Amino acid sequence: MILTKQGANFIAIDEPKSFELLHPRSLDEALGLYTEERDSAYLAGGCDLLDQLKHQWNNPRRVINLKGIDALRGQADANGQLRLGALTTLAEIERDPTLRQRYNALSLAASRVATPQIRNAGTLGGNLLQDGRCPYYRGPWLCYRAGGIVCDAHHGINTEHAIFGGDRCYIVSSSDTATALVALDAQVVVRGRDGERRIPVHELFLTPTEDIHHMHAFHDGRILTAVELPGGAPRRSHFIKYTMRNVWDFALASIAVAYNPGARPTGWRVVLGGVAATPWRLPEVERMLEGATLDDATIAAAGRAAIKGAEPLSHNAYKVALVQKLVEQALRESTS
Amino acid sequence: MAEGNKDSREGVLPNPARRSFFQAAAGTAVAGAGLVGGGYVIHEAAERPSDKEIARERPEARADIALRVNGKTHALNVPHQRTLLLALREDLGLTGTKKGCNMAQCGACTVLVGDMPVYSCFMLAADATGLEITTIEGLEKNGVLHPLQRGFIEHLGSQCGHCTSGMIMSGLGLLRANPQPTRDEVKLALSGNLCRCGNYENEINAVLAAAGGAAAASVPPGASAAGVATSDSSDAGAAGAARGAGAASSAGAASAPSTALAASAVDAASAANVASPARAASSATSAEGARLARAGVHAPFPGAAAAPPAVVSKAPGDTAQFRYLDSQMASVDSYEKATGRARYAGDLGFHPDDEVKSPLFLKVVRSPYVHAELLAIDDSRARTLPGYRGLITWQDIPALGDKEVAARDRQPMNRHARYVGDAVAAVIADNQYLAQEALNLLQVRWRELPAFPDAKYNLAHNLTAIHSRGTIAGFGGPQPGDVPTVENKRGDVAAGFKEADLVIEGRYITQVHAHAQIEPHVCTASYVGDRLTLWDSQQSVFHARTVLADILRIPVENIRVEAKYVGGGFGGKCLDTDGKTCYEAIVALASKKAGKPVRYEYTLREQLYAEDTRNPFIFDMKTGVKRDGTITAIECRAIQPTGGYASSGPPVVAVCGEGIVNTYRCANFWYHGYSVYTNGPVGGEFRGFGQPQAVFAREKHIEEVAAAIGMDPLEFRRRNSKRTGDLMSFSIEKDVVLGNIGGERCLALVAEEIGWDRWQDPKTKTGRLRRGIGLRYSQEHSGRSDSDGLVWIDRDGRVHVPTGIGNMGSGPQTGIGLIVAEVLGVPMERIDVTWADTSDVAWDFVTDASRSTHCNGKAFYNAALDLARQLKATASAQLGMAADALTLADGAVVGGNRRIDFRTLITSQASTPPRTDFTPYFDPKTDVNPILDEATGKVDQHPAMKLNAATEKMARALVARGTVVGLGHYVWNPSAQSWGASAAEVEVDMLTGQVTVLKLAAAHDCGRVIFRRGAEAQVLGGTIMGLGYAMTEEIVSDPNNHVPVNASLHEMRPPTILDYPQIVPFLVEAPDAAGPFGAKGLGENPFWNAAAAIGNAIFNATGVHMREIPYTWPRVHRALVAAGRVVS
Repeated sequence: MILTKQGANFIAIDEPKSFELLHPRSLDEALGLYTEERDSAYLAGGCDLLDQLKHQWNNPRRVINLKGIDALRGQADANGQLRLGALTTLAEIERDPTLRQRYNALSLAASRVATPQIRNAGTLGGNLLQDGRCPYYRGPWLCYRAGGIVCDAHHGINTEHAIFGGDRCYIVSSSDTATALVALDAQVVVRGRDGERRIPVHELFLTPTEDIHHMHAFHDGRILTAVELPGGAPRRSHFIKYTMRNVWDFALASIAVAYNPGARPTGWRVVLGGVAATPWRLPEVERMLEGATLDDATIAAAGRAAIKGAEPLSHNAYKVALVQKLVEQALRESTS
Repeated sequence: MAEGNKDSREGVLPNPARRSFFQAAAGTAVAGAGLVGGGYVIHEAAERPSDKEIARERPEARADIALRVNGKTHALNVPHQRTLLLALREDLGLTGTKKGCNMAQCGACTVLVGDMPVYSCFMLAADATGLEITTIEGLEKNGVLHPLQRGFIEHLGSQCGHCTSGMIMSGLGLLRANPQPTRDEVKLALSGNLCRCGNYENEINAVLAAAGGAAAASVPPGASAAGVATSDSSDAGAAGAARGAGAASSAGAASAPSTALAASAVDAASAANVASPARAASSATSAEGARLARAGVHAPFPGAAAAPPAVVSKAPGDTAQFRYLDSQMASVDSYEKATGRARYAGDLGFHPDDEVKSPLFLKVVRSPYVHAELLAIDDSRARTLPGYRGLITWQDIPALGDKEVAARDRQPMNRHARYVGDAVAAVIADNQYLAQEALNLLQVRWRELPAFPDAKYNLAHNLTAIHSRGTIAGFGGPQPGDVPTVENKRGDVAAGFKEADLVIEGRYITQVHAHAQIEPHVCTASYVGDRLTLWDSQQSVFHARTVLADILRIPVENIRVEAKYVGGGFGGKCLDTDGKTCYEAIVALASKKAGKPVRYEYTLREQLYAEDTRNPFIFDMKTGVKRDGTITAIECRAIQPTGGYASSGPPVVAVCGEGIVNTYRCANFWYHGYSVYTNGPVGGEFRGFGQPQAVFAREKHIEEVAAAIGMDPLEFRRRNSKRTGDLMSFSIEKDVVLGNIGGERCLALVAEEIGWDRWQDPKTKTGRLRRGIGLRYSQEHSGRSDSDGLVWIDRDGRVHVPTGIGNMGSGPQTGIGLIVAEVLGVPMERIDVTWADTSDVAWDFVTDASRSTHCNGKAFYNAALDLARQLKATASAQLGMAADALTLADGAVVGGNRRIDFRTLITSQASTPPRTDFTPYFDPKTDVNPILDEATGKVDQHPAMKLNAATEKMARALVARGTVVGLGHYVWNPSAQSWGASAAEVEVDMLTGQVTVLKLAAAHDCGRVIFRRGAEAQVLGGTIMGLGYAMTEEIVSDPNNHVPVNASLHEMRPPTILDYPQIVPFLVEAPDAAGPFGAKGLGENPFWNAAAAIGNAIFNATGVHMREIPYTWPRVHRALVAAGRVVS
């Protein structure tokens, strides 16, 4: 597989190559227009795609604008689940009182994405499916993920890279909503030429071991049409994201937790973002917490358990400390 | 790839330490790429991955679209890839919307789509069809300004103004959804808009004012502190706003009743946040702020208290009273900036009334390698592209003479590329897409050379691979590695160390730092015949002209440089030596070649590292001290990796040396600084010019010295501070006597503000979160070189002040207007200040070095005195009174109870013989540089006090027209030093290394407050920019191929509106007779408020000395781990 990377003029280029912008009105039409990876690209909010196009490391000849497709919009209760169309913007999620109440982690995650302008334009689908932000992958290097044979970050500047699950590539998942949605046991609805199916969000993302070139398996032209959040008894959830600046930054590390409230909460989901190529669940911590009282000792033990197995690189040992602090902070917030 | 390929490369030297990223050649090259020995195969860049893409058929698709903008529908035919930003600016001529980073990382291009602010650079124009778009041009209705625009005018909402339109559009989006926002809500709404001037507090107040009516954000009187006098003016802000509106023939608009958005009731919360003395009040945390704080948003947001108005500390016994100075008026350019009318260099070429229409576009071929030689460049494929207009290369630059070859190490384009981004050639085409395509179609063959990024290595090996004539950048060109660029040795250093009770040593390291102005470097050149006109984003129009004349080999008189508005300069847009990037020369030559005007605009990456940056430094400091706190000797060895070229490296090393040795008394010191060529980003000129690096290193070091002898750091600084009348040592010149110093008052004010009495030894601190406080103290010169002043009165009696100062938003135009107002007794409404067009303003040397208010200010002060003398002489004859008995007030000459207004006087002036002597006025006691002859460079000779030819020509023309002209001149006086102190409080997380800055106090001795709001804005803005330098900002290059890794605003992280703490400003007046009304420099000083004070506060909290900036989380964490101080 060949990925198109930036050429020698990476410094001097900041506008896209020419492409054909198409405006399908239906999912079938859009699927029919898609040719192949890197030759076609779907456009929703554009917050990631425009960056790729303007740096000319992704140069599709065909850009398929999904925003005219009504099937990708809207919010509805369906079969006891809450369905959010993939084009729902992050700002809409951030402001929605129902989501704030029932799916706090998602609401907070949306609120912490980039800036107001990005949240006004950016969509839930786009946020989930954004490509990794590793500067080597996006810049003028030919790393493993870009089709090369080396991880330039591993022996370079890896301050913001993975401490879990690295395998030749140490990119991290930058999607805040993905971290939250995994904790919330959400699923996505996917339409391909072969029809529609549902995938739990935690199965959406690929580790470098599974596919070193893709963060998820949507490069064949399938379209993420909606996210479905489970109904039923209300669960509590929370999301925390650490960034050096309070806006714009991608997560250095983040956490989403969800649980059934009570004196001894159950049904824990503890998921980290920004530390692995996928949202990174902590099953051992979840087991520890199941039915436990969240006292200081439990919280401290959970913090320590969370960093077991962390494998920091040369520049990112601080992330191990961040994870410990995140877990402790998330659990304290859960008790308050 | 096989060994054979390696052999086929053109004599490439072995370089196992690095590899090329141009194995990025996808397809064939990559498929075969493999390890060779211990290193990697290095490829030439001739075959690039994009070639395959280019080979594919890719016809330009265009679409007919209808854009609905500001209530009007426009039919356009645009390429499908056209962004909304470019459609608005370049197709519709709506250039009020600004282009900044072009990558959704700055917010300058924010427009409303429906009611929502979005980045128009990240929206396709065709995708905006059918949506209601509002731009800054849509706010004004029937000549009535929108309350937001009034707010921005009245509250100095703009410094450089390049973020203003975007800020206002974000504010509009907020007010449509929430007409009564709290301060925190305003901050959140503006959080997607960067302001590199750091003018956030004024922007917040402007939006609050628009929301709550004038009362909500009116500036309250400064709170009195003990022993500190305050002064305030009342309603000058409104007057200034009215003047601004009047200047554009919409008088009354600014004071028109508020439109729908202005609320009659003042929101209680916002009133409390803004109108109360913020010194005492902390901002109420909004519900949304509290919610986000639970999601990881950290201090200083939410709840950081607003910056209070600056307290002005008068010198004891200073009873001077002024009519116009220290005014709270709006700046002279605020109206144009708040309405999108301000025309920046990049806005030219898209309006029917522009001097230039439809310029060609240029793109520069830059080295992708950190060290390489260009072997061949072939544009035959590009020539098949319709709309391609040609190639220029290094060969098109006029050759250097023999003498210049020795002294100059850089041309605007260089075949031997010495850093990533070095310019070698450029293509010209009809539009930006074609220019990019042409660039992609070029076949460029490079020979990659071994990289030498390490200054210490280069110095140790006397490296001549980068510049064959030497390792070190010297003032006269490259020089051998054993000769320091600057050396300054006084007293007996060895004896001083012997005398010491303790000798403390430390190494301090600073980073590569990018200006990251919101406006990219941009210019349009029209080179017709032998005459060049250049519209440039340029701080120093006159010196740019000199440099261009030198490079292009044409007379200075044949060049006109205009730079009405500059969207942030900070030294990065100051073309004052031949050794800078000088992209302007490339564009000029392209225009000549193409026979049409040519435009060139940097990309973000060009902006961040192809352009000059702030030099990194490595300081080895050594100080001898006695137990009683006496400093017996200081040695500092400073190594400055200057990058591929000297640029401003040598003078930066010199000024850095002044910064190291000149704050504290010490008879024995030795500073030796080395500007060392390296393969890396070029270090140039950047706010402070070596001082920020010096102040960080010395003030960190001094803290260690004080700690070593167990002395209170405040007491140590006080005890050793130089005093008025002490000698000031200049590293390349000779000593001067220090003028009036307000430094100790600065120290006292910040110490009190931060609560220095709470200082505790770091050993006493426990727990995971630890707080600490720290100080910084230093001084700086008030400029350099000379300026002309010219003030004239037209036949309507209006006063004209044509200054040579670049307008980067730092406010000297307003300040100089006020100086002239004060001298002539004329209100600002009757004064027209203009600037920065070599064809019609008084000559000036440059606009940098904190010099404008001091140097230009004094030149115009002198010119105004010269004019006043003439006015009095004329009136004296008419009134029959002695000139000495006359005064000037309210635009008239007054004698007893009689007065003649300027208009009458000027009309009657015809009877007086016109001026024939064009000697400028100056005060021989204060207005000559005591050490320097600018013409000969020799010390101890006063420079000629005469006008530059350009100013004299202008004066003669004005006199010939029958006007009265006052002329002045001034040469920088190094005795006039600005002193300053700052204090910081921080909280450090001993587990993660996260440092939170809780508060900064900043006191600046600026001699005399001239333009209060401008001075405050410099202090707050400089402090915020310095906070980025201290905490986050750094250009980091890959250790293997040396390409900058984090060259985006995302990764470089300049501070946003949610990232600075409360800043408490003090303006201290210790007037120096050299400056106008005693004013000294102020522009750069605030920049170094943050780094050392925060570093010392971190030490106070943790007991760990951070000897390297920025204090990022990873770096502090690493230091805590290394010191064994992690608390988990």
